[in-house]
Amino acid sequence: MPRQDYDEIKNKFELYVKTWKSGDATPIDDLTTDNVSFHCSAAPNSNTGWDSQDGVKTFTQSYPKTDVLQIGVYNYACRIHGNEAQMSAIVCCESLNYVDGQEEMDGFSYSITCAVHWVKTESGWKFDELHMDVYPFYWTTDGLYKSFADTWYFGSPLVIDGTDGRIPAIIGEFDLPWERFPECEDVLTEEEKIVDSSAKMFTSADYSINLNRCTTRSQFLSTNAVRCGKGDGIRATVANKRIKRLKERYWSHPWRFDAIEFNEDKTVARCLTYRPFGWKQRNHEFVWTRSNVGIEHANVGGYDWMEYVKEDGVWKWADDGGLRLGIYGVDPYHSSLYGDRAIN
Amino acid sequence: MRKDYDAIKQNFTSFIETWKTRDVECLKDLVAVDVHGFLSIIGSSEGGEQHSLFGIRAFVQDIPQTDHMDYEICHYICRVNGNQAHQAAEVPCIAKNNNGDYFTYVATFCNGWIKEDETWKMNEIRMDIMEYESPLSEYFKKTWYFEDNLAVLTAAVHLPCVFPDIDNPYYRIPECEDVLTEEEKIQECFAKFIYGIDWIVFTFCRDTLSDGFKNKDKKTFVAETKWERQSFRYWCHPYMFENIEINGDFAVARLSSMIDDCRIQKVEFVKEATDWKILSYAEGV
Repeated sequence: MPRQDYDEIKNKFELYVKTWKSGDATPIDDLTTDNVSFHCSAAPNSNTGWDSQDGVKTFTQSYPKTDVLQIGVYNYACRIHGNEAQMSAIVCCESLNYVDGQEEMDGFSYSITCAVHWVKTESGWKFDELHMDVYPFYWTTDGLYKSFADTWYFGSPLVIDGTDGRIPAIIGEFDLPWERFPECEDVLTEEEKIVDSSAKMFTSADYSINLNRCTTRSQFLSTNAVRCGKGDGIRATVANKRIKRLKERYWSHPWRFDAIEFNEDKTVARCLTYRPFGWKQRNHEFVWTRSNVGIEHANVGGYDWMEYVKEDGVWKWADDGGLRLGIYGVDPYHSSLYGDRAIN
Repeated sequence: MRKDYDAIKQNFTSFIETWKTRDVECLKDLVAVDVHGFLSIIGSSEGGEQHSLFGIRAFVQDIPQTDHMDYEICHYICRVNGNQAHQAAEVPCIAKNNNGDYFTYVATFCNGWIKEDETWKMNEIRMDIMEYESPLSEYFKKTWYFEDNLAVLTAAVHLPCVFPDIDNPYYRIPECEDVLTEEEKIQECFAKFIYGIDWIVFTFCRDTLSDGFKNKDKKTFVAETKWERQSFRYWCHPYMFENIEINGDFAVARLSSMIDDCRIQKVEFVKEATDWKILSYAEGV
């Protein structure tokens, strides 16, 4: 059943991500096909430096160790097409160390965007393609950053400085779910369809698939949402960001939904964004302390409410309240990495 | 209807010809009175707006004077549906003086057309001009506005006038009349491929390259080209087709670049289902 397939993939992706935390690569045998292809922007020498099942295990086993690793999955999307599926997500990570005699912790924050192709085998769903782009956000001390940079390759943040021959590991035109499988099984709840629309808008922005940014916006996009640019809503909200995106190697717009309220007139979703990468917020770092460790969303960088309308059967962004920067959420951490408490 | 396609192509050519002749009287037959014009060389407004037939007339009259002007129309795409059409093209131009000074530029267009009283007229003109550093650059810049050709958010005055993802003929006219010859379909395939590169709509490159693309793994080619493209505001690759030889579902074309010293390319095409796709290209042959 397609819905069971969807749930199985979601659970298995969570199992995979949790191996980064445990350092135990054993589950990878059951999660991947033997011939899995692994392209990773952080791999040594080239994106294909870890291109094998052993490479997938190496990533998990050599994941830089810190006292605490906090992980949340944002922008999760999965499209099932028969016995195949394409999934993408932005996994936001915080690697933290306690410092003796100090309340404040030493931390490194980064996101790992994943684009994963799954196949249905006799022993369940397994992934046979894993593409990962690792984007460093910010860090407290250069020593901690360096301990990661010794293991992972990061490259220059500006494309024009990129003389290393490295390109992103995810190629949006091929690897994003909406591009790989324009047609897919209809298994999502209405809430999940809104989350999917948001993931399509933001992840496509990160990979310069600008048409998806336009088609996830309502043609009646409110002027409230048009805070820059000129012209109609869609054109104004995408035109300048389209250009802004180009010069940078890294873009990552992790969003997750805290609550979605359906209403006849308007459907409002309260959403949280993790450390908006290009915003000035990154210059005003979140302070990790011993007391806020393990608190989910403690480090979420802003919240917004977005209004969605259904046009031709598709949920589209129609209005928003303006992103409020700051530390929001602070809900108790729970076992799911998806944080979809309100969505189920 | 084929005659609509031909009429639009003729009218677009006539429009560019006025840049040479300065015969602005004929513009009333080519441009709707209430046309929306967005011209990147207009520095006085954020969107490059210069609306109305009057505004377009003024633009043509104000093109800096030189002794000669030559142009070619490359990568022409036009999709017609009833009384509406949308058209794109790259138009490399050179303005020259008798003393040998010149100015090279490429005007790229995404234009909307409507049929009024059996006459096709432009009701939306979106034009971005990319300049090439030339002896007459300073002279042209006294009249025309240009921004640095780097991808930065802080555009001095305005962003590109073409929003490539929603201004292209495929998005504006999703269903179109099938009026093209096989040769034209091949040219349009290549035009779409170049549009994808020059305007960063790499899904167009993905869709116009054959899965059997010979030069390189198709996905790697798209990714590397996109990466190379990414730092710049504008890119232009105007090519002219010299000839096309079709042999069943296979075709070979020779093209010459209108910039880069007329470099020649040999491009192979293959017909897959109903669409022509690019199979290979080679430079300098």
